[in-house]
Amino acid sequence: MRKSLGYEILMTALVLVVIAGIAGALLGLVNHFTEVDEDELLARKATAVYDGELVKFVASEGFDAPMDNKDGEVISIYVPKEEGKNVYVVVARGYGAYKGSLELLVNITDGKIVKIAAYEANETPGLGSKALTEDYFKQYYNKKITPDFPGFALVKRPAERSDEVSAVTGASKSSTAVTGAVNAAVKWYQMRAMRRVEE
Amino acid sequence: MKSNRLNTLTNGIVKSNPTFRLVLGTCPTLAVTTQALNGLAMGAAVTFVLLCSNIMISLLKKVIPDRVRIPAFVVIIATFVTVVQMVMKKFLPSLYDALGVFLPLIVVNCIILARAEAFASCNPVLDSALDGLGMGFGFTLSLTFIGIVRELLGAGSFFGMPIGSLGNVSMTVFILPAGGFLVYGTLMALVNFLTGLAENRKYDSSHKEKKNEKEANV
Repeated sequence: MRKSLGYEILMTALVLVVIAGIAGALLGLVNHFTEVDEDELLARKATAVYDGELVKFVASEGFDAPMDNKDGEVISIYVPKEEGKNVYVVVARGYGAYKGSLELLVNITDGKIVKIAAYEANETPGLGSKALTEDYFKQYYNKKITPDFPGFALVKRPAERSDEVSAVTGASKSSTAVTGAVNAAVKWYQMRAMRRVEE
Repeated sequence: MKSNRLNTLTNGIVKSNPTFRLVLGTCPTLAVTTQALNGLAMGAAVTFVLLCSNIMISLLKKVIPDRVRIPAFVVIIATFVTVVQMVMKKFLPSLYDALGVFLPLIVVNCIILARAEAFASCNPVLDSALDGLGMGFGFTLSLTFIGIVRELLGAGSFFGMPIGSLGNVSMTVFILPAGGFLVYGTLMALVNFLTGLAENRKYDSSHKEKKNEKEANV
């Protein structure tokens, strides 16, 4: 027996709508249990560079404005909850990485970078990932950031001057992006934080 | 009946291995197997989606009108993929980052749609579940194996653990896309050679020696 056109359209639409409705309800339920709080995620990851509770840095006019730069930019700043510490945890993005960009956490304490960790970075394992290891990050550590510090210069040979950083062989793109991110953090520190310290 | 079910299960692991025999789902196969762990995670995600979607589609095969079965299948598959994605983002963020865009791309993975269309839509629930499990295991095993080989040759490590000083003599090409094709092709040749050998032996043992000689001459 041939069913009428209206019946077929109705049944087809109804089945699809019911399936989509059940699927939507299921996804809503799963999402309720698995929703990721970005701030919480950052706070958890930030313990890699600073041992203590951090709060988002929101200061008077223009202080918290991210810095734009073609090699890298500052996304957000965190400071210890405890007051009176000269510590800034800068979330900085560097461009030119193998997969576009990468994000780092940079801990600047008393005018020196003391710790760097990868935040959102997905470079090729065993290749670009070599530029995201402590061995490479060490080159940026403990160098005094003065107001006229020009930023780190990436070189493809052993570093000679103290502001030079030797790129990882086979991972020059990732090294470039890391340097871009670190330099953005340094520039932010020079322009905003140092002025405040002087005041 | 029992051996039939066992066949359904093992079919995907050896005889119709989705990666090496059916050559389905090559995109994630080549893209995520730079590390063994990524391959394993991808395989596990696909297995889960395959199992759930096969069961669901088999259950609904009488309800879904034949003419709109593809959109219905895709909605069902996409639902389970999104579930996997949400769970992974919450509990395994590093793997979620490593798999990147290839996790949502499971929706259009041809293994899953092929099994839904070719098997689950015309077989009972239990068989469809076994088929999904078998195909999933086959995919997982293949991806993990490719991942182990690429990671060992390209980064000198095994599941992220460095093996001695092997990392110093690693060949970067195996982590790059070109190396993925090299490893995939070589392993596929090896697997086909071995399964061919095994099939020949089965064939030989059930035939007379005369035929055996004839085969050897050819």
